[in-house]
Amino acid sequence: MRLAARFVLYRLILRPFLSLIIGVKFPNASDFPEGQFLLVSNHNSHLDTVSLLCSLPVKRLKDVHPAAAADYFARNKVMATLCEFFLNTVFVRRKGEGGKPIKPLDELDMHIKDGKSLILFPEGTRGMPEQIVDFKCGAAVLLQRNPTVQLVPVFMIGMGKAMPKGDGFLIPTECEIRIGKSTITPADLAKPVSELTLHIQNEVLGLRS
Amino acid sequence: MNFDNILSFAEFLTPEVKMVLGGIFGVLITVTAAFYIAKAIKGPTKLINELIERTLSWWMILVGFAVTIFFSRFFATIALGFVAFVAFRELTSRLNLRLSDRRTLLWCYLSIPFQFFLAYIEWYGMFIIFIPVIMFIGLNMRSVAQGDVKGITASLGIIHWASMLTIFSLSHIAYMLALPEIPGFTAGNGAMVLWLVLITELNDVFQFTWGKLFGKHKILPSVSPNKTVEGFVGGLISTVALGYGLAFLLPVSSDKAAILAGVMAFTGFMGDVTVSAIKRDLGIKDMGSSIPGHGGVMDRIDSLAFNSMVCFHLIRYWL
Repeated sequence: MRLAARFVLYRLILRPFLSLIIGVKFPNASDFPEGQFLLVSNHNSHLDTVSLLCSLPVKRLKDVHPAAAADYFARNKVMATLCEFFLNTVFVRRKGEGGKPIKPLDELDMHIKDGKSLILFPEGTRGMPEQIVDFKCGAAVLLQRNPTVQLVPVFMIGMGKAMPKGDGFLIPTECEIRIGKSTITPADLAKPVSELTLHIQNEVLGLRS
Repeated sequence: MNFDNILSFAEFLTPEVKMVLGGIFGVLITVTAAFYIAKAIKGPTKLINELIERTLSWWMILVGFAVTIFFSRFFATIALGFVAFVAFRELTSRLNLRLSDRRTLLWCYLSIPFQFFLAYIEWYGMFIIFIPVIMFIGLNMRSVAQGDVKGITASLGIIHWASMLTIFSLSHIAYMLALPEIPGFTAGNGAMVLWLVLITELNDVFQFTWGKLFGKHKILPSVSPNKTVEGFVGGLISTVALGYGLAFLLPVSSDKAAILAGVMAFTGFMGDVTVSAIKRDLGIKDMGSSIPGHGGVMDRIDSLAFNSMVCFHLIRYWL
């Protein structure tokens, strides 16, 4: 039932709209690896998540969860429910209640241990179009804790021009989703977190040209 | 305003059109068969495979064109508007516009359905000034109202230029289909469009072929190194001959059809090299990737963008 609903939403409504009207160029579904993965990508627009979910094989959508900041996307019940229902979002709390420190990565780690594939935007927030800021270390830490999970580097072009931060208007603009193959080895995973983070960032940036 | 003809189908499939379309399909079938036979005898060489691939894409373009134009005028107008939309999107995505131009672009996108609606209802006075006058003023107004002056000169130029090259030009084909019945002319408005597209595309093919066979002197080496004087002249002569021969598709005399074909050989070439020059400026090979293996829509309609306006207005002048 939910598979049928997802098929209608992603393949019959959103994807044709994104490709015909907005001009998003989708990758081949076969570019996604089999098995559990951790997808990291640059982030410029609210279009990013939806476009990524539209490019995944429908059958796999139930196990794929974009990570979103709880203080922004779950700031009210309606928004949170919509995100969870349509996008399969998992929320990450960045601030503890009453100033208590929390460990957001532990929560994500738990989701991965549950067998979920995550979509992360390690820049932390949507940046200016076609610009990229230094990645945060979350993806590297999660990979080190879960060495069997595959890294999928993704670079998205043009999304920030179609729908930039702070402007809800969608303007048709040609966009592209590029999916790369990670070259991370077990030796890389043993490196310090900062080095691994840089490695991941370079894999994403390497898809730009 | 008359919407009765929304439900009239295949009204442009006159005997003349059927004959020419049949001829084109006949040529394509012969060529396709010849290539496959050559492949069977000589084995799959690189050249043969490439030629077969090109022929197959010509099949797609021809079938797509025939269905778009000849199914019904209502459908043709919408389809042409969509082609203009995609071409405009390709251009504005690549031409380094600013984030502050997004609202101006929105106005352009909204102008597309309106311009093609004007073509559909044959409101000539409005159709001919809407993009060049009203939108010209409106776009400047919207950009200035945004208040971001850094780089506004380039943006104003690019956006209006792109509107003219895609939206305004292609809407002429839609208007051509909407022209009222011309006394003594039986081939129909679809025939005019068929003539326009056939002359434009075959002029490209003729130029290419003559250039490959006899090309020596480069005509615009810094823009398009493959274009030669010999190719251009050979293409011009072949195109004039073809235009003269197919003059029964137009509501003008054969002599005028030949003159029109000659003018279009030149303006088609201009459209082609204009888009080439811009691609060279941007350092890209194709304007888009909308047609798999064929670059973008803009790469396909570069000659047609100029020719649709030239063809429409010269015929209108002679009528």
